[in-house]
Amino acid sequence: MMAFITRHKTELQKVLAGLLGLGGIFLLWSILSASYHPLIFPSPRETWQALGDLWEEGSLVPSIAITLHRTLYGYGLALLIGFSLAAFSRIGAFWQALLKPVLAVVQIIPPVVWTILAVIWFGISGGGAPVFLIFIVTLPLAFSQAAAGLEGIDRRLVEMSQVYRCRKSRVLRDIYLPALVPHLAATLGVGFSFAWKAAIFAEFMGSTSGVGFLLSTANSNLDTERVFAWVVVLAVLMLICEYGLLIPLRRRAARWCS
Amino acid sequence: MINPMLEFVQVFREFETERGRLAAVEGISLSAAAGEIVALVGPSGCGKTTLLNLAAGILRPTRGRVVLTPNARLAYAFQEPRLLPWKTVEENISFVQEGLLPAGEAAAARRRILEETGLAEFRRAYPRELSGGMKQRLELARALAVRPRLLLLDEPFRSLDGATRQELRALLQSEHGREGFSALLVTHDPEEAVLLADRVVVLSPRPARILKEVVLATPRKRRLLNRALVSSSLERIEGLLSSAG
Repeated sequence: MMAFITRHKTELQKVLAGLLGLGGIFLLWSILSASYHPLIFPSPRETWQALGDLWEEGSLVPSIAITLHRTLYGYGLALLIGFSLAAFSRIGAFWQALLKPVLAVVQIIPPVVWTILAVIWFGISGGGAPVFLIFIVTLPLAFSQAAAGLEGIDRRLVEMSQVYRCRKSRVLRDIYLPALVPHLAATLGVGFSFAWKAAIFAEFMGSTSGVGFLLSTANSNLDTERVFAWVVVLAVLMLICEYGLLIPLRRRAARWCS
Repeated sequence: MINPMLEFVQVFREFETERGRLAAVEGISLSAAAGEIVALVGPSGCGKTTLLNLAAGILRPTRGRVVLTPNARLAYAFQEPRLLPWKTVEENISFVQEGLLPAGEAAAARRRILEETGLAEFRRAYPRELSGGMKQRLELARALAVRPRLLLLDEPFRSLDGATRQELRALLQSEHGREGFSALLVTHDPEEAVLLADRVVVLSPRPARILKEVVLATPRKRRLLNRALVSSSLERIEGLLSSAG
């Protein structure tokens, strides 16, 4: 036990510091909830009860699954098209000059405008509007990260492959793709959290299913306990995603490319 | 010279810089016959690497022509090792062999070169796990493993200690004896040039022009055994280099 603690002292210190931070939030929440009406600031106990109700109703897991599915679909599409456009822009300065301002315009338009347009174009009954919003807000990010990755590729390695007349498919697979891995890992981290928030926002504004829709319903019913319960669920999900998936992925990518 | 493996015909190369055009190479005409090792020596920054890059096709001449024997298998041991960090020692070699050699021949050449360069026990190591000298060995091993017809060598022994340098020079000699490739060797070391090359081309400070070509008539093996045989050539080259600045 002592040997384990000594060996992992730094990591344990970090975990403890993180737990202390979360404990601080919990303490602040408890103090504030004691000073306000549950309609304004429900207590952790009331929130826990609302969470239990969500579980019993059976709406918790299916709603998360719907939102997660939309997030992965929209974001996956943005990654695919963003990376393809970035690769395409490498063909020549003309294509780069053509694509950059287009994506800049897409980025400049506020997400709320895209949400309104998405609802007009796709309606609120299906999943089209949230998927479109996720796609459109994460596309410029995926493009810029891929473009930065391609920009940073070691030209000397590409020259080496040309000297040895390596096939283009091998150069793509063995030089370009591995060099993009750290950028892809970074994009996944920032982009996924962005996509997840966009999904909830879109569902909140114009959908009849998913976490965002249930948040919107709770908000309309002045059911603040449920709103808080969803906030807790979302925070826990993002923490699991960040610490369980994205941080290890980034570490692996950095180690691989060092 | 009949059918040179590589030929520079009145080659000029300029670079665009913020301060205008910079001439790196000026009117170079030289060739390497099949099986011949030509050493390029000259002051630092005179354009020796530019000449290798022109031979490799990485750069194109501003004027003039660089002609390679059609379908000649080319290999280049770069001055700073250009290794794929995400591939092991063995994978770095097989990466360049694919498409150049049949699988069986590639595997045999790889095994042999790894043994001879002392890298066999590191075949599964990644470049980050190798010292600078080991990376340099791998760079050379990779170039030799494609069984080149024309080998471009840019200061291949620069970051090696004395004993390893000797060992790898001997390896280059034996591979040359076995495979009979042509080579263009860039070195700052006149002694290395006279020991390894058949001909030494002395270049001027930038822009590179040929000051003198010194043909080494004594067979290479004898030169290695008795360095006194090349002392006069060495003195000539050193004299040319010091007068060139």
